[in-house]
Amino acid sequence: MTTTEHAPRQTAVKVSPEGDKLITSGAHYLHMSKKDLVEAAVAYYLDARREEMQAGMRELLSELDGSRASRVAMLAGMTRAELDSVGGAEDDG
Amino acid sequence: MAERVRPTLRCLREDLALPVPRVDTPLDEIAHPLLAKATERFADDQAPQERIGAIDDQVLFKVKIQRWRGAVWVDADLPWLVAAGQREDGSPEDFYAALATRGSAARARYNAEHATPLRSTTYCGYFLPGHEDDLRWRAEAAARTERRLRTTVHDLVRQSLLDGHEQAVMLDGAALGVQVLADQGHETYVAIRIIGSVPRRLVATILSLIPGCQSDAWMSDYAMPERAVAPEEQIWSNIMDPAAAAKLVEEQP
Repeated sequence: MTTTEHAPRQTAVKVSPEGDKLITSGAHYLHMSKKDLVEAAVAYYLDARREEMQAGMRELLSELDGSRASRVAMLAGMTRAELDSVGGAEDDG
Repeated sequence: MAERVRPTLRCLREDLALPVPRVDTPLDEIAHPLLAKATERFADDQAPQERIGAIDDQVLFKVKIQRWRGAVWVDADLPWLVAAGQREDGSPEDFYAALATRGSAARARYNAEHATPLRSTTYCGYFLPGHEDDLRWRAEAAARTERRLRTTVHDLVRQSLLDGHEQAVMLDGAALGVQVLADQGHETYVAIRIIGSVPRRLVATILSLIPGCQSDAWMSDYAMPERAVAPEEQIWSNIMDPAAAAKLVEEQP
Protein backbone atom coordinates (compact mmCIF):
# COMPACT_ATOMS: atom_id res chain seq x y z
CA MET A 1 0.00 0.00 0.00
CA THR A 2 1.27 3.46 -0.85
CA THR A 3 0.51 6.70 0.97
CA THR A 4 0.52 10.18 -0.42
CA GLU A 5 2.40 12.85 1.58
CA HIS A 6 0.70 16.25 1.44
CA ALA A 7 2.73 19.43 1.88
CA PRO A 8 1.41 21.68 4.68
CA ARG A 9 -1.21 24.10 3.39
CA GLN A 10 0.16 27.56 2.52
CA THR A 11 -1.86 30.74 3.10
CA ALA A 12 -1.66 33.94 1.11
CA VAL A 13 -1.37 37.22 3.03
CA LYS A 14 -2.33 40.50 1.38
CA VAL A 15 0.02 43.44 1.92
CA SER A 16 0.16 46.94 0.48
CA PRO A 17 2.44 47.68 -2.54
CA GLU A 18 4.75 49.62 -0.20
CA GLY A 19 4.86 46.67 2.20
CA ASP A 20 5.59 44.26 -0.63
CA LYS A 21 8.48 46.47 -1.81
CA LEU A 22 9.90 46.49 1.70
CA ILE A 23 9.58 42.72 2.06
CA THR A 24 11.15 42.14 -1.37
CA SER A 25 14.13 44.42 -0.77
CA GLY A 26 14.54 43.07 2.77
CA ALA A 27 14.52 39.48 1.55
CA HIS A 28 17.21 40.33 -1.05
CA TYR A 29 19.26 42.12 1.59
CA LEU A 30 19.11 39.23 4.04
CA HIS A 31 19.36 36.51 1.39
CA MET A 32 16.06 35.00 2.54
CA SER A 33 12.84 34.07 0.85
CA LYS A 34 9.99 36.54 1.29
CA LYS A 35 8.02 33.84 3.14
CA ASP A 36 10.84 33.16 5.63
CA LEU A 37 11.37 36.88 6.20
CA VAL A 38 7.68 37.54 6.92
CA GLU A 39 7.41 34.60 9.31
CA ALA A 40 10.61 35.51 11.15
CA ALA A 41 9.64 39.19 11.31
CA VAL A 42 6.19 38.45 12.72
CA ALA A 43 7.63 36.13 15.38
CA TYR A 44 10.27 38.76 16.25
CA TYR A 45 7.65 41.54 16.43
CA LEU A 46 5.28 39.46 18.58
CA ASP A 47 8.08 38.66 21.01
CA ALA A 48 9.02 42.33 21.21
CA ARG A 49 5.43 43.39 21.83
CA ARG A 50 4.93 40.59 24.33
CA GLU A 51 7.88 41.85 26.35
CA GLU A 52 6.43 45.38 26.14
CA MET A 53 3.02 44.13 27.37
CA GLN A 54 4.62 42.16 30.19
CA ALA A 55 6.72 45.13 31.28
CA GLY A 56 3.62 47.35 31.37
CA MET A 57 1.72 44.79 33.40
CA ARG A 58 4.66 44.30 35.80
CA GLU A 59 4.70 48.06 36.37
CA LEU A 60 0.99 48.08 37.22
CA LEU A 61 1.33 44.99 39.42
CA SER A 62 4.16 46.70 41.33
CA GLU A 63 1.61 49.26 42.52
CA LEU A 64 -0.33 46.45 44.23
CA ASP A 65 1.05 45.45 47.63
CA GLY A 66 -1.45 42.67 48.37
CA SER A 67 -3.72 44.93 50.39
CA ARG A 68 -7.34 45.45 49.50
CA ALA A 69 -6.83 49.21 49.58
CA SER A 70 -4.22 48.99 46.82
CA ARG A 71 -6.64 46.98 44.65
CA VAL A 72 -9.49 49.43 45.23
CA ALA A 73 -7.22 52.36 44.38
CA MET A 74 -6.03 50.54 41.25
CA LEU A 75 -9.58 49.83 40.06
CA ALA A 76 -10.66 53.41 40.81
CA GLY A 77 -7.65 54.83 38.95
CA MET A 78 -6.49 56.88 41.92
CA THR A 79 -3.55 57.00 44.31
CA ARG A 80 -3.61 55.45 47.79
CA ALA A 81 -3.41 58.98 49.22
CA GLU A 82 -6.51 59.99 47.26
CA LEU A 83 -8.34 56.86 48.43
CA ASP A 84 -7.37 57.51 52.04
CA SER A 85 -8.47 61.15 51.75
CA VAL A 86 -12.04 60.05 50.97
CA GLY A 87 -12.31 57.34 53.63
CA GLY A 88 -9.94 54.50 52.70
CA ALA A 89 -10.92 50.86 52.20
CA GLU A 90 -11.54 48.05 54.65
CA ASP A 91 -8.93 45.31 54.93
CA ASP A 92 -9.53 41.84 53.53
CA GLY A 93 -12.17 39.99 55.41
CA MET B 1 -37.48 56.60 41.06
CA ALA B 2 -34.58 58.80 42.13
CA GLU B 3 -31.44 57.51 43.83
CA ARG B 4 -30.98 57.68 47.59
CA VAL B 5 -29.72 61.06 48.77
CA ARG B 6 -25.94 61.35 49.25
CA PRO B 7 -24.26 63.96 51.40
CA THR B 8 -21.25 65.78 50.02
CA LEU B 9 -18.12 65.02 52.05
CA ARG B 10 -18.00 68.64 53.24
CA CYS B 11 -21.62 68.45 54.42
CA LEU B 12 -20.98 65.10 56.13
CA ARG B 13 -17.90 66.31 58.01
CA GLU B 14 -18.76 69.92 58.78
CA ASP B 15 -22.56 70.16 58.88
CA LEU B 16 -23.61 66.70 60.11
CA ALA B 17 -20.36 66.33 62.14
CA LEU B 18 -20.09 62.66 61.17
CA PRO B 19 -16.89 60.71 60.45
CA VAL B 20 -16.28 59.71 56.84
CA PRO B 21 -16.79 55.92 56.67
CA ARG B 22 -14.62 53.54 54.64
CA VAL B 23 -15.54 53.48 50.98
CA ASP B 24 -17.16 50.07 51.50
CA THR B 25 -20.08 51.95 53.06
CA PRO B 26 -21.87 54.03 50.42
CA LEU B 27 -22.56 57.54 51.67
CA ASP B 28 -26.23 57.15 50.75
CA GLU B 29 -26.47 54.35 53.36
CA ILE B 30 -25.34 56.49 56.30
CA ALA B 31 -27.95 56.48 59.05
CA HIS B 32 -29.05 60.03 59.81
CA PRO B 33 -32.59 61.40 60.19
CA LEU B 34 -32.02 64.22 57.70
CA LEU B 35 -30.66 61.85 55.02
CA ALA B 36 -33.53 59.45 55.64
CA LYS B 37 -36.06 62.25 55.32
CA ALA B 38 -34.39 63.60 52.17
CA THR B 39 -34.40 60.15 50.57
CA GLU B 40 -38.07 59.74 51.45
CA ARG B 41 -38.94 63.14 49.91
CA PHE B 42 -36.93 62.59 46.73
CA ALA B 43 -37.97 58.96 46.19
CA ASP B 44 -40.75 60.13 43.91
CA ASP B 45 -39.58 62.29 40.98
CA GLN B 46 -43.06 63.81 40.68
CA ALA B 47 -43.38 64.81 44.35
CA PRO B 48 -43.50 68.62 44.76
CA GLN B 49 -40.43 70.11 46.45
CA GLU B 50 -40.05 73.43 48.26
CA ARG B 51 -37.30 75.56 46.75
CA ILE B 52 -35.07 77.75 48.94
CA GLY B 53 -36.22 81.09 47.55
CA ALA B 54 -33.39 83.18 48.95
CA ILE B 55 -30.82 81.20 46.90
CA ASP B 56 -30.95 82.23 43.25
CA ASP B 57 -27.73 80.94 41.68
CA GLN B 58 -28.61 77.26 42.19
CA VAL B 59 -31.88 75.38 42.58
CA LEU B 60 -31.75 74.09 46.16
CA PHE B 61 -34.65 72.40 47.96
CA LYS B 62 -35.61 72.37 51.63
CA VAL B 63 -35.65 69.22 53.76
CA LYS B 64 -36.76 69.39 57.38
CA ILE B 65 -37.08 66.89 60.19
CA GLN B 66 -37.06 67.49 63.93
CA ARG B 67 -34.48 70.24 64.51
CA TRP B 68 -32.57 69.39 61.33
CA ARG B 69 -32.69 71.57 58.23
CA GLY B 70 -31.07 70.68 54.92
CA ALA B 71 -30.51 71.87 51.34
CA VAL B 72 -30.75 69.35 48.52
CA TRP B 73 -29.34 69.87 45.02
CA VAL B 74 -30.29 67.45 42.25
CA ASP B 75 -27.69 66.43 39.67
CA ALA B 76 -29.59 64.65 36.88
CA ASP B 77 -31.37 61.90 38.88
CA LEU B 78 -28.98 62.01 41.81
CA PRO B 79 -29.98 64.17 44.79
CA TRP B 80 -27.20 65.50 47.04
CA LEU B 81 -27.50 66.90 50.54
CA VAL B 82 -25.17 69.89 50.12
CA ALA B 83 -25.77 71.80 53.36
CA ALA B 84 -27.34 71.06 56.72
CA GLY B 85 -27.79 72.58 60.13
CA GLN B 86 -29.93 72.56 63.23
CA ARG B 87 -32.62 75.01 64.26
CA GLU B 88 -31.58 76.51 67.58
CA ASP B 89 -34.22 77.12 70.24
CA GLY B 90 -34.83 80.86 70.66
CA SER B 91 -32.51 81.79 67.82
CA PRO B 92 -33.98 84.43 65.52
CA GLU B 93 -31.88 83.21 62.64
CA ASP B 94 -33.51 80.71 60.34
CA PHE B 95 -31.15 78.09 58.79
CA TYR B 96 -32.21 79.00 55.27
CA ALA B 97 -31.81 82.73 55.89
CA ALA B 98 -28.34 82.04 57.28
CA LEU B 99 -27.56 79.96 54.18
CA ALA B 100 -28.59 82.89 51.99
CA THR B 101 -26.39 85.24 54.03
CA ARG B 102 -23.43 82.92 53.47
CA GLY B 103 -24.35 82.77 49.78
CA SER B 104 -24.38 86.57 49.53
CA ALA B 105 -21.00 86.84 51.23
CA ALA B 106 -19.60 84.18 48.90
CA ARG B 107 -20.96 86.09 45.91
CA ALA B 108 -19.20 89.25 47.08
CA ARG B 109 -15.92 87.35 47.43
CA TYR B 110 -16.42 85.73 44.03
CA ASN B 111 -17.05 89.06 42.34
CA ALA B 112 -13.99 90.58 44.01
CA GLU B 113 -11.81 87.77 42.64
CA HIS B 114 -13.25 87.41 39.12
CA ALA B 115 -13.39 89.82 36.19
CA THR B 116 -16.90 88.74 35.18
CA PRO B 117 -19.26 89.39 38.10
CA LEU B 118 -22.14 87.11 39.01
CA ARG B 119 -25.60 88.52 38.30
CA SER B 120 -27.23 86.41 40.99
CA THR B 121 -27.54 87.62 44.58
CA THR B 122 -25.94 84.47 45.97
CA TYR B 123 -23.10 82.10 45.10
CA CYS B 124 -23.47 78.51 46.34
CA GLY B 125 -21.23 76.75 43.82
CA TYR B 126 -18.77 75.79 46.54
CA PHE B 127 -21.49 73.73 48.26
CA LEU B 128 -22.00 71.51 45.24
CA PRO B 129 -20.28 68.10 44.78
CA GLY B 130 -16.67 68.60 43.73
CA HIS B 131 -13.46 66.69 43.03
CA GLU B 132 -13.34 64.82 46.34
CA ASP B 133 -16.98 63.78 45.94
CA ASP B 134 -16.12 62.41 42.50
CA LEU B 135 -13.17 60.50 44.02
CA ARG B 136 -15.44 59.08 46.71
CA TRP B 137 -18.03 58.01 44.13
CA ARG B 138 -15.38 56.22 42.04
CA ALA B 139 -13.83 54.61 45.12
CA GLU B 140 -17.20 53.23 46.28
CA ALA B 141 -17.75 51.69 42.82
CA ALA B 142 -14.21 50.25 42.86
CA ALA B 143 -14.77 48.73 46.31
CA ARG B 144 -17.88 46.95 45.05
CA THR B 145 -16.02 45.74 41.95
CA GLU B 146 -13.09 44.49 44.04
CA ARG B 147 -15.36 42.38 46.26
CA ARG B 148 -17.12 40.87 43.26
CA LEU B 149 -13.82 40.23 41.43
CA ARG B 150 -12.18 38.58 44.43
CA THR B 151 -15.08 36.16 44.90
CA THR B 152 -15.33 35.41 41.18
CA VAL B 153 -11.60 34.87 40.61
CA HIS B 154 -11.19 32.66 43.67
CA ASP B 155 -14.24 30.58 42.68
CA LEU B 156 -12.86 30.07 39.16
CA VAL B 157 -9.41 29.09 40.43
CA ARG B 158 -10.93 26.69 42.96
CA GLN B 159 -13.20 25.02 40.38
CA SER B 160 -10.38 24.64 37.86
CA LEU B 161 -8.05 23.24 40.53
CA LEU B 162 -10.66 20.59 41.26
CA ASP B 163 -11.38 19.48 37.66
CA GLY B 164 -8.33 20.68 35.66
CA HIS B 165 -10.48 22.34 33.02
CA GLU B 166 -10.88 25.96 32.06
CA GLN B 167 -13.63 27.72 34.03
CA ALA B 168 -15.14 30.92 32.65
CA VAL B 169 -17.73 33.58 33.42
CA MET B 170 -18.97 36.76 31.75
CA LEU B 171 -17.92 39.86 33.63
CA ASP B 172 -19.34 43.24 32.55
CA GLY B 173 -19.38 42.24 28.88
CA ALA B 174 -15.97 40.54 28.91
CA ALA B 175 -15.25 36.84 29.27
CA LEU B 176 -12.92 35.83 32.10
CA GLY B 177 -11.50 32.30 32.04
CA VAL B 178 -9.14 30.54 34.44
CA GLN B 179 -7.35 27.24 33.93
CA VAL B 180 -5.15 25.63 36.55
CA LEU B 181 -3.10 22.54 35.73
CA ALA B 182 -1.77 20.94 38.88
CA ASP B 183 -0.30 17.85 37.24
CA GLN B 184 2.75 19.39 35.56
CA GLY B 185 5.39 17.61 37.65
CA HIS B 186 5.78 19.58 40.84
CA GLU B 187 4.53 22.79 39.30
CA THR B 188 1.02 24.19 39.22
CA TYR B 189 0.41 26.18 36.04
CA VAL B 190 -2.28 28.84 35.93
CA ALA B 191 -3.56 30.64 32.84
CA ILE B 192 -5.96 33.59 32.77
CA ARG B 193 -7.77 34.58 29.61
CA ILE B 194 -9.81 37.69 29.06
CA ILE B 195 -11.83 38.27 25.91
CA GLY B 196 -13.08 41.78 25.30
CA SER B 197 -11.93 45.32 25.79
CA VAL B 198 -11.07 45.78 29.47
CA PRO B 199 -8.90 48.38 31.21
CA ARG B 200 -5.35 47.25 31.99
CA ARG B 201 -5.93 48.21 35.63
CA LEU B 202 -8.71 45.62 35.78
CA VAL B 203 -6.42 42.99 34.27
CA ALA B 204 -3.69 43.80 36.80
CA THR B 205 -6.18 43.51 39.66
CA ILE B 206 -7.43 40.14 38.39
CA LEU B 207 -3.86 38.81 38.14
CA SER B 208 -3.06 40.08 41.63
CA LEU B 209 -6.01 38.12 43.01
CA ILE B 210 -4.61 34.76 41.87
CA PRO B 211 -3.06 33.31 45.03
CA GLY B 212 0.47 31.96 45.20
CA CYS B 213 1.84 33.71 42.09
CA GLN B 214 4.88 35.99 41.89
CA SER B 215 3.68 39.34 40.59
CA ASP B 216 6.75 39.83 38.38
CA ALA B 217 6.48 36.37 36.78
CA TRP B 218 3.27 36.80 34.75
CA MET B 219 3.82 35.95 31.08
CA SER B 220 1.72 37.07 28.16
CA ASP B 221 0.89 34.00 26.06
CA TYR B 222 -0.32 33.30 22.54
CA ALA B 223 -2.46 30.25 23.40
CA MET B 224 -4.21 28.26 26.13
CA PRO B 225 -3.17 24.64 26.81
CA GLU B 226 -6.27 23.11 25.21
CA ARG B 227 -7.11 25.51 22.38
CA ALA B 228 -6.00 28.34 20.11
CA VAL B 229 -6.23 32.02 21.00
CA ALA B 230 -9.45 33.83 20.07
CA PRO B 231 -9.82 37.32 18.57
CA GLU B 232 -9.65 40.15 21.15
CA GLU B 233 -8.26 37.71 23.68
CA GLN B 234 -5.38 38.20 26.07
CA ILE B 235 -3.78 35.34 27.95
CA TRP B 236 -1.57 35.55 31.01
CA SER B 237 0.16 32.63 32.71
CA ASN B 238 2.22 31.97 35.79
CA ILE B 239 3.37 29.23 38.15
CA MET B 240 1.27 28.93 41.28
CA ASP B 241 2.62 27.88 44.66
CA PRO B 242 0.99 24.45 45.29
CA ALA B 243 0.60 25.26 48.99
CA ALA B 244 -1.41 28.39 48.14
CA ALA B 245 -3.51 26.34 45.71
CA ALA B 246 -4.22 23.70 48.38
CA LYS B 247 -5.12 26.40 50.90
CA LEU B 248 -7.61 27.97 48.47
CA VAL B 249 -9.32 24.61 47.91
CA GLU B 250 -9.55 24.10 51.68
CA GLU B 251 -11.26 27.49 51.99
CA GLN B 252 -14.20 26.13 49.99
CA PRO B 253 -17.10 28.49 50.82
